[in-house]
Amino acid sequence: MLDKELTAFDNLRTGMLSRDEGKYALLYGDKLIEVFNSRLDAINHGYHELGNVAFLVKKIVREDPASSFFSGKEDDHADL
Amino acid sequence: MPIFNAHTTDLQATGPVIDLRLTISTAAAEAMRRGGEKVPAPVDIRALIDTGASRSILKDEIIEKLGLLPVGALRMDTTALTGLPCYEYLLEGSFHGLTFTGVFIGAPLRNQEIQALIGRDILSHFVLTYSGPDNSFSLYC
Repeated sequence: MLDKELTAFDNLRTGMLSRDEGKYALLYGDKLIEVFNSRLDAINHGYHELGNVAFLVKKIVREDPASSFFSGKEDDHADL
Repeated sequence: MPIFNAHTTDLQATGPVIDLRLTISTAAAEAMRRGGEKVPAPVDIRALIDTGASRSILKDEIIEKLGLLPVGALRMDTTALTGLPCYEYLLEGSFHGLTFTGVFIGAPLRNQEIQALIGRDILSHFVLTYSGPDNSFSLYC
C-alpha cells in the first residue's frame, strides 16, 4: 500500500525541495495533487477531493527523520 | 480550561496512563458518508504517555477496528528488516474534556493493556506535569 506514492515522492523530492521545503505534499498514485503549509490541511484536502482512499501526505525534507520513535526497550512496547 | 489529574498507587510501575476515546476525523467521516460507507463507532482505548517517543503509535488491531485507510507512510529500519513500511492515520482523541487531533503510526504493540503510545507530537498541544513523590500526573492545554 502507498508504494506508488512513496516512489513518486522520492522521484519528485529534489524538485519539490527547491520550491516547497518544509511544506507537505499530497500524492495519490504517482501524481502530486498539491502542496500545503500544514499536514492537517493536506489530509483534509485529500479526504475532500479523493474520498476515503489511501493517499500519501509527506513532509518535504531533504532526509526523512530518524526512524526510531520509541523510548525504552522494544520488548516493552512495539514489536518492531 | 479542562485539566486532567490522575493519581496512582505506583506511578513508576504503571507510567502515566490515560483512557482515551478515539474517533475517525471529521473529514474522513464526511468522505465515508459521501461514499455511502458506514462511519465506524468511536473506540475506547488505554494509552501510555511516552515523552521518549517522538511520534504517537496506535496498535494495528484498533486501526482495523476503525476501518481506517492510511494518510501517510514511512519506511522504518528494524532489527530484522530494512525499509519496513509503516502507515500513518489521522484520528481525533478525547479524554476528560480535553481533545486533540493527531497522526498515529500503526504498529503491533506487544503490551496487552496499552493500545497506544502518546508521543511528543500530540504532547506538543498539552502541558504535562509528572509528580513522582505524589504518584500523580496532570495534563492541560
